[in-house]
Amino acid sequence: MTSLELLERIRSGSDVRTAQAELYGLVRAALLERLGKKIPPQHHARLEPEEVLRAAFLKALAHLEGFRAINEHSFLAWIYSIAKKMIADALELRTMATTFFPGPEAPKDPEASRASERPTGATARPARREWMESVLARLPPQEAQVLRLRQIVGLGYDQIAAAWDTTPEEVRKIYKRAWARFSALAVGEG
Amino acid sequence: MHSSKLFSERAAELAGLAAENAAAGRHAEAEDIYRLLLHLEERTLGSEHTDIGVTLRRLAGACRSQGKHAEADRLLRRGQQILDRAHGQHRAELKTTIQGPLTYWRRTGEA
Repeated sequence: MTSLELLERIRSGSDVRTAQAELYGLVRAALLERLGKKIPPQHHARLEPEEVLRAAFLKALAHLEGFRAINEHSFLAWIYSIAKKMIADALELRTMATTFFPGPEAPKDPEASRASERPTGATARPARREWMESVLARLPPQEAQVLRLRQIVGLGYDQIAAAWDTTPEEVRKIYKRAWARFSALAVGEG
Repeated sequence: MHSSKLFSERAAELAGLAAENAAAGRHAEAEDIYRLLLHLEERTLGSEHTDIGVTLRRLAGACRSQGKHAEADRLLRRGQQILDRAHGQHRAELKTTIQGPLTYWRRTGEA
C-alpha cells in the first residue's frame, strides 16, 4: 500500500493500528538513514535517530487533520521536516547547556555571553525571545545564566549546582534573585 | 513599532516560555512567568480583557500542579468570570447584528 492509501485508512478509522504500523514502516525505510546523518556522531549516544523518527511520526499523526498530501512523497517530506526541526532543537539545547556549564565564573561581558549563545544556521530558533534576551542581557551574567539554564534549557537546580560546584539551595537563591530582577526590568519596560 | 504590536510580541514570548516550562513539569517557573505576564497584561489591557482570562486559567493550572488548590480555584473563578462576561457581550452584539434581518424575515414570513 502507498502512504496516501494508508493515510486514507487512518483518517477513515479503518484498522488504524495496522495502517499506522505499515505507514511507520514506509517512513522508517525511507528516512531513518538520512536522519542518522543529520545527527553529529558525538550526539548519537543521547539522540537516537529512531527515537526522533518515532516522535516526529507521532507528532504528525496528532496533527493529521490539518495535513493535505499533494503526492506520494508529501507525507515523507512532512515527517522529515518535523524530525529535522526536532534534531535542531535538541542540538541547540545541548549547545546551550554546554555553553553555560563552565560554572559560576560567568563571562564579564554580557554581550560576549550572548554572542556565544546565539544559534546559527539550521539550529536557529525563531527570534521570538528577542525581547527577553534583551532583558537578560541587562542582568548580572550569573543571574542571566541561571534563568536561561533553568527556564530555557530546563536543567534542574541540582544539575546547575553540580556544574557550578555549589549547593542546589544556593542556586535557588540566585534564581530567585535573578527572577526578581528580571521581572522588575520587564515591568519597567513593558 | 506600534506599541500594541510590541506588547503582543512580548506577551507571546512570555506565554510561550511559560507553556514550555509547564509542559516540562517546571510548574513553579511556569507560575512565575504567568504572574509576570498577568501583571503586564493587566497594566496594558485593563482588567477585563479576554487575554487576562486565558492567562488566569493557565496560571491556575500551574498552581494546581503544585498542589495550591485554593489559589488555583480563586484564579480560575476570576478567569472564568472575565471570559463569561466577554462571551456574554459578544452574544449581545451578535444578537443586535442579526436582529435587523430577523425582523425582516419574520415580517415577510421567511422565518
